Amino acid sequence: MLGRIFTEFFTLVEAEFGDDMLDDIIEDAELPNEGAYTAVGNYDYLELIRLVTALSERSHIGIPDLVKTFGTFIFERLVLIYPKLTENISDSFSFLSGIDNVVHVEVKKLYPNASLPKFYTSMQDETLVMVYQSDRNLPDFAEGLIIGAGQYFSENLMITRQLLDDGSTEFRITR
Amino acid sequence: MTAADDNLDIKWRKRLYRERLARQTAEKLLEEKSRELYLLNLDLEKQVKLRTHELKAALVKAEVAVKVKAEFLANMSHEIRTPMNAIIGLSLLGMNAPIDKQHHYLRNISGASESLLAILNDILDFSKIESGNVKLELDYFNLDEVIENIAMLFTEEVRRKALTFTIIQPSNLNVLLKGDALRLKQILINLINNSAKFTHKGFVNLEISLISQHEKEIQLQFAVKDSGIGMNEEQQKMLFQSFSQADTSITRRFGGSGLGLVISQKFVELMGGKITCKSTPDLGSEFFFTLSFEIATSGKISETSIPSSAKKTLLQRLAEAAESLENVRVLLVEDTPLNQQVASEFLRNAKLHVTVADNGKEALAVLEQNVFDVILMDVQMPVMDGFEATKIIRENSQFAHLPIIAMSAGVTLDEQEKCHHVGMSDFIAKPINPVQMLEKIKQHVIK
Repeated sequence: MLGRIFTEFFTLVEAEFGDDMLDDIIEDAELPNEGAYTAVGNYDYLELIRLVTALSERSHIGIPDLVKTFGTFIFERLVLIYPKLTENISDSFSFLSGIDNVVHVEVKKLYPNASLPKFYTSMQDETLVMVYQSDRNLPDFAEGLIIGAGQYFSENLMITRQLLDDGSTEFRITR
Repeated sequence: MTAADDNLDIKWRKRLYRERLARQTAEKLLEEKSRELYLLNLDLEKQVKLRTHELKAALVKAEVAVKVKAEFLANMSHEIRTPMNAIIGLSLLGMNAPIDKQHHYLRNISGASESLLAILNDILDFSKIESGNVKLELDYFNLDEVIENIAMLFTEEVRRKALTFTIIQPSNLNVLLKGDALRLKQILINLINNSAKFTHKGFVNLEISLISQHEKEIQLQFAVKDSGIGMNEEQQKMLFQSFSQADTSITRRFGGSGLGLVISQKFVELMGGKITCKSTPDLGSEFFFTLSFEIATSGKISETSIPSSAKKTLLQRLAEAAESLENVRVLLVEDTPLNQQVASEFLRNAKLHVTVADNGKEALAVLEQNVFDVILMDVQMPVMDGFEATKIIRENSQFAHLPIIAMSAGVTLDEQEKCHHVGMSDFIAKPINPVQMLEKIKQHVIK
């Protein structure tokens, strides 16, 4: 997983729960590098899971809620760091439909080793159907990102999700 | 220091350690990345250099091609203007000359017109070769007839220059060759023309020798030798390059499109051979090539090896072609008054009856009121063109077998095929060769 995700997670924890909480969960998670993450590195995503689990235990907030919140936060941060991602895009559906073919193509150029999730999108009448498929299977994170996109474009998104037989998750989004 | 202070100190040390470790990791990664970028950059620079070099080469090539085409155009323009100048000038002089001198001017105008036609034909052939549109038309032919034709063409020209022109050929060949007789003739004429052009005294010879003969195949060598001005090695190297006569000033002195050898070489290559040149300055040149032909034996080959028609003048040949065409009724459909005059006077001189229609529509009207033996049909005309008129005529069963011969300045195979497609019986290329016109009429009218 891209180091940027870890450093952003740290920023979120520091802002929402304070420096000490960050120290504590790093300690709890028993990380191989003792929490020394850099945005330009690449790390095992299980380390992030361990951090989130530790945070959940200490904050008494459910893991799904934490991950979703983190997804929303990271969307906001990513478009800030890479303003090109939303250039010439004026609504959430356009952005979400372009993740695979536009955003991820650019990400691959910067980080050839990044292993990225798949988003298959299609329109059914007014509904955007997004099927999320990832080895890491973090549908909460994906949902958080979708919520983040809605907030960024100031749209009220209605999101329902359903686990499909093959383990992927289908999001149906209306606005 | 209190225990709480101790705790805080440890905390800060840990944070500091974590940040330092992160920074070092990041620096290592960034260094690797920048080294990667540096190498990529080197590779890119190399590629840019290579591509730039390639593009420059392509540009130079394109510029040369454009220049060559421009020179070609200028050269052709000059070549066309030279006989045009003669035609225009001599016509003016002829009009003002006393009647007894006019024949002299007319003969020269006729000669200049023939060179103009030859140049136009060369340009057409050359552009066909350039665009890869040349196909050989393979059919069985009699080599003797080809040679007879060539002899006929050159006797007068060579006599005028007081050269001896000898044709040496294998006797009793007695077979038909499969090949493109027209192109073969064209190649030989080009080579002989070339030799005659650069030979002022002595001889021009066409020598055909049998290399080998098997049951189904024959190999012949064709050689054109002369006692002309010859060429040095440098000049020989330039020979078969597009429109480069050995020396451009030669074009000025000797005329010609400068395309003859290039065209000949291409045709010979299409036939599976290659023209080679041997030459010594001041002593003469020899151009030769070897070709293989499929053969078929024939008992029909005429015994006469010395062409009887060779010594005939144009007028005699005209008279011969006109034989038994007297009173044949011709409908000439042609929109240009001058071309009407040319064709109808040739025909009337040969004692044929000529009715002229200005276009296809008029022809249809005339055809309703009169009876004709043959129609000569221009292709491009206002009101109704030759294609449409022919289609309408053919719809009437009464005219299903009436010979309709196309006369067109569009001499491409496409145009000929189109003529055939709409139901025309034959095709005559403009400018009209009167002998050919009469022969074609004879071929279709007298059966």
